[in-house]
Amino acid sequence: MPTDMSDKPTAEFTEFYASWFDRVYNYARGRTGSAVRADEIAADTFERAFRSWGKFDAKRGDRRTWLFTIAFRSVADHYRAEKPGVWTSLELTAEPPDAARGPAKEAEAADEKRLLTLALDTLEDEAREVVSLRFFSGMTNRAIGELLGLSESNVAVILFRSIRKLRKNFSALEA
Amino acid sequence: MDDIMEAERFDTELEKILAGRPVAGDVSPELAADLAFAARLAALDYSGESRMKYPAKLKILAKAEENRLRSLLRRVGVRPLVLAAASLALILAPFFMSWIASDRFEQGALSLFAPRPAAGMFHGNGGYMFGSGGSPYENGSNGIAQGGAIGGAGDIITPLNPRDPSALSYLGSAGIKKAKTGEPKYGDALRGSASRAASAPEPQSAPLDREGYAFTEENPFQKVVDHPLSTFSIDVDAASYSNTRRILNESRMPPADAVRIEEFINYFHYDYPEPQGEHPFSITTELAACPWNAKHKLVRVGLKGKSIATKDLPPNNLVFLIDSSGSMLSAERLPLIKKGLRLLVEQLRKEDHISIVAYAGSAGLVLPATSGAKKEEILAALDRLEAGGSTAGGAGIQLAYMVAGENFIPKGNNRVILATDGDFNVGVTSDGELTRLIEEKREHGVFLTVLGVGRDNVQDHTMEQLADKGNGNYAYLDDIAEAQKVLVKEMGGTLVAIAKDVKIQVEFNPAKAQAYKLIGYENRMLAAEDFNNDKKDAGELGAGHTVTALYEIVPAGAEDESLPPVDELKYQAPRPAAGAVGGTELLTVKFRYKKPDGKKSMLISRPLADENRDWSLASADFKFAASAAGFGMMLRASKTRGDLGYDKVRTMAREGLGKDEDGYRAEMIRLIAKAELLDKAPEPSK
Repeated sequence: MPTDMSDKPTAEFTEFYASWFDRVYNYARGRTGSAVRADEIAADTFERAFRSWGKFDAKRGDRRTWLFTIAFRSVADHYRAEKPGVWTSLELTAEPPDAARGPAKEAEAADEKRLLTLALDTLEDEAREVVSLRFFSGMTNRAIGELLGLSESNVAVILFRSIRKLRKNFSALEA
Repeated sequence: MDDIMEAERFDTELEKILAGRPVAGDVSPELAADLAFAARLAALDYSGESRMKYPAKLKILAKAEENRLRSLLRRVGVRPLVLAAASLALILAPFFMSWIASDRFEQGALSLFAPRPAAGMFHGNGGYMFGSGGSPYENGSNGIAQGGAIGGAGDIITPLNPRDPSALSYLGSAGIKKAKTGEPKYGDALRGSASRAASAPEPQSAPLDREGYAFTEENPFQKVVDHPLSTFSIDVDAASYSNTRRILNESRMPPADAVRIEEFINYFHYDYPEPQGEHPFSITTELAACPWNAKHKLVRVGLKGKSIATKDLPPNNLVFLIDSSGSMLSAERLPLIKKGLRLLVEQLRKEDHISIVAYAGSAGLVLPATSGAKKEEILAALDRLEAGGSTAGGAGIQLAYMVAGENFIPKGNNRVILATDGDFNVGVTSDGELTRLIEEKREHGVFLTVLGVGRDNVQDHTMEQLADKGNGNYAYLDDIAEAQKVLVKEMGGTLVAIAKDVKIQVEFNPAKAQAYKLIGYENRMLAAEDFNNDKKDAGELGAGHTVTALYEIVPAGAEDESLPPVDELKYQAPRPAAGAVGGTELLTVKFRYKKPDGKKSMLISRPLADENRDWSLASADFKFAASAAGFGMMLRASKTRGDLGYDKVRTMAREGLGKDEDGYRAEMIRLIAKAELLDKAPEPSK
């Protein structure tokens, strides 16, 4: 990732957007459980990122942490704006079928995805945040800890317990 | 403490998973299970679901950047350079986006990340958006149209919709009678739609006349002794008039069933007083001799809904549901809708929210709920819409209602605005299910407005039915002026209901009237007992809207040939003699309505005294309403039009012209002349 953004920021940003969109979307989707919200949050995150593009300071962390700090705040703002309304998933249309993979496998994968998403719904807010950041953004425990005001080992424990809980809930859902 | 140590061990191994490296083999079975699960979770990829992956947002950002640069450099005075840089950025953006969407990106050429875990279950293919492709009918072949998919890896193959007219004309030229639909190999979702498409009704045999109108039989004269009550639901739609105007402007006579006379009458605004007091609408009645039958009388019943100033309107939660299927391609369809909605967007306030759902092949959310303050964003989303693919209207409607529900504003105006040529392939739902869905959502306070466009295949009946079920209204947009009328001038009335389930019941006094005929409202008739049944749905009245109904009455004692004689009944008790009750009253009009969020109806009742009043004394509005009705009767070649002719219709319209600030009434006078010429011209040989 080039660091000098001054001459053609739009193109730089476009590239940045292309590289990171999926991660941000997955984080927001995992965090909120709603495809519609995930789109909103992803769009909002990149808009904010674009606005503060020049404020990024490489000495204080990498672009990943910078971007996901913005995404994290965007989620928080969306929650603040929405509560106490309950978020409902808007997954209405089926995923586009993948001809190469065939319908049976497609359905299986869709089912696993659905169950995993359902399992995520069983987590508490904080745990869900930690899991989403760790798994979808790829941030380190240290960076997550700094963002959430937790110690590094605290994050590791939350993560470990959440995964174990998720695994059990997932098995229960699968059964 | 064990817990913490185990957590640390887990974390070390997790790091490997996330980096795509193998985990150590010496972990406990329990921890191995955790790690296996973690791998599945890490492989979870939702990004294929995103509908904004390659969004107009980038264009907006580029635009913002251009503006920033412009203002920055203007200060320095380097104009030519600015423009060059800005346009370069703008030109490059789409290229870049298509490159992103290409396979190279999917294969990770651009990715900054370590390879993902090799679980192999994440979705490789890209966003599922439409609108990128051109018309599938220009380049489609073998009856399979390629949907507009961005994202390279998995192009969406969409089966042709046999009910899609452009598909039909394409197939027609190839000499194929029946549309060939996609094979099941395209997966479950499409298999479903393909078989549904295959089982859809055969297209009508006459290829040039695909407009669908429901057959309507004109209301007959009813004898008061047999039918003292006339009950109907109000209809504020005006689509039939604008559709007829479009057909006349194409120099054709409209099919009789395209003409709904009440919609002719209600196309025009009448100067009724603002409501005073507890009820949300005012009532006006007027009586005069019938202009086309000297022995008869004509009664006008007018309602006007309370006007609400734009600033006092409740906040809007509008979901535009836009048909972007291949049949919407031509200028008078999707482009007209887009122009019309742009006008509406200009009117929005910051408390209003707009979402856009489009459907073609599959349904998609193009714009999540966005405040009316962010006009540029909304307009950009509208601009992005392009026609292509076949129509899956049902899925679109479901998605639209879900979005409307998610952004529901209590006490607000929650409404789905469906814009379509009505050539509906109802997709996931059958017609019945669709109707039930619309009815159910209506109960939850989400109403439906239908905007019809297009010619040749206007599925007028479908659209009116849908709007009717959704407590909504149906407007036909034939040109931008009509879009302006419906979406801007009448926005209040079109979009904000002030009363729902408005029913009218008229009781005639047999002492004064022997027979009557309700002009128009044929498909709005209700049974007498429906009037007091609050479960029975009826039309809604919008803010500032007027509704007018005309009754032609045969006074008691008049000799009349329009009443077929029936023998005296042998077993019935004799009816009360003239004048026994009601004195001088000719009739009593009763109204029932509910508040927009109400469950129980309220009743208003208004008697009308009989009098003999010459037609020349009728008000200008009455004259014009009668001429609109008369125009409709001429176009329908009504059997009960008496001595009515185009001349008389035109005279009434001229006398009723009034101020006509917008020129709508003058336009009808022009249309009357046109219809007269067409009507007299010999039929073109077939």
